[in-house]
Amino acid sequence: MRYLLISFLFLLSNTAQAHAEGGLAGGFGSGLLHPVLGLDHVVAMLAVGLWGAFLGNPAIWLLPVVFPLVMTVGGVLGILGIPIPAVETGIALSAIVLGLMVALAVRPAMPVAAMIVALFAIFHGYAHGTELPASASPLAFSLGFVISTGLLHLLGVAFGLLARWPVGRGLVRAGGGLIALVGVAYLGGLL
Amino acid sequence: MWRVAILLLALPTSAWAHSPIEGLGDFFNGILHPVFVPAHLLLVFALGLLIGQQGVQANLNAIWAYLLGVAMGAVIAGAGPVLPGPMALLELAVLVTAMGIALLVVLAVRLPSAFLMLLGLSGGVLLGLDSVQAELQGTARHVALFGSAVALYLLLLYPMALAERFDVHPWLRVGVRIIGSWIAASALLVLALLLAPAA
Repeated sequence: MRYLLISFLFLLSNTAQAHAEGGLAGGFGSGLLHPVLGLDHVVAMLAVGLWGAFLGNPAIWLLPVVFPLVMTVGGVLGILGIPIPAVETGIALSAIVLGLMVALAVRPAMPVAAMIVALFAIFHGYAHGTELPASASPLAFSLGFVISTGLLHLLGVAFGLLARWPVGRGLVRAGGGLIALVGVAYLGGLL
Repeated sequence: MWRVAILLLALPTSAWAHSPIEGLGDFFNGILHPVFVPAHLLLVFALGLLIGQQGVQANLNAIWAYLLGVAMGAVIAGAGPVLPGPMALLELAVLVTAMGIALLVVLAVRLPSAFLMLLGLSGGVLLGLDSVQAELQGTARHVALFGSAVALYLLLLYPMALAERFDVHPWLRVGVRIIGSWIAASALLVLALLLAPAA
């Protein structure tokens, strides 16, 4: 009877899910985690939000709307297997350029800011897009990483709103400098 | 012998999206169906956000058109055979419609009531048609389709109420547009993935 009980308990265990993209939840969870697990993605997304908040209206809402839409263009290129040169370099450069924009308080015209952000969005989208075909549930994966990207932007926007106060303005610019340094570390192969 | 039977009963099994879930009745299987099909969720959420953004009171006809569309689609799906080819086309159509409606949410332009009705009707028909579960037959299929239709209606109410409640402050209105951009982006990526082998 004891052996039967032990066998019974072993059989009660569910299928192993570690490091596997199991079904819908696995696809969504993997997508949600994908941008968060890469520091280069995280800092660049934060920089988009920070810069948007720093530039004020309409950039504060326009950049987080433009980014995911343009990011899909990169994602589509990744899915279709159309090569884009130096994707990782582009992602590292996005952190450097966007971080410096915040650190140096650069205020270009809105179309120029949108173009800069859109250019880098293609590199980030491409990196996510190449992961998509391997996902258990591509739609859940894409929804996960788009939401995750958007939430990182909003985190950047929330921090960037500190720029309304003089002390906060210094903090936000320091944050931009830190992001640029992380980008330099990635570009130099230190991270 | 009964010991072997108990051991076999304890064997783990997996639940799969877009197919009946073991242990649930047909009606509840139908209720859960749209929740487990992300493409349906995208379309329902995009449509709900759009109707809420445009004003629920002024666009009640769009909700009725959506309900009518879901009912029409479910009746047609329940009566006919489930063929893999048309079902794949339906999935594409659901995603294209979701993306188009989500882009309208992003643009946030005032739309004619008749156009919104047309979107509600076509979105409803597509969802109703795509709600059929190939594994079910006869009465079970019809009961599940009825459950799906109920769920599709209830699911529309949440984003619609959200978008209307958010129509009081510029920041909140921007939030609705951002969610629209997420839906459009996800739908476009999966469309690319579906079309990739032919490209």
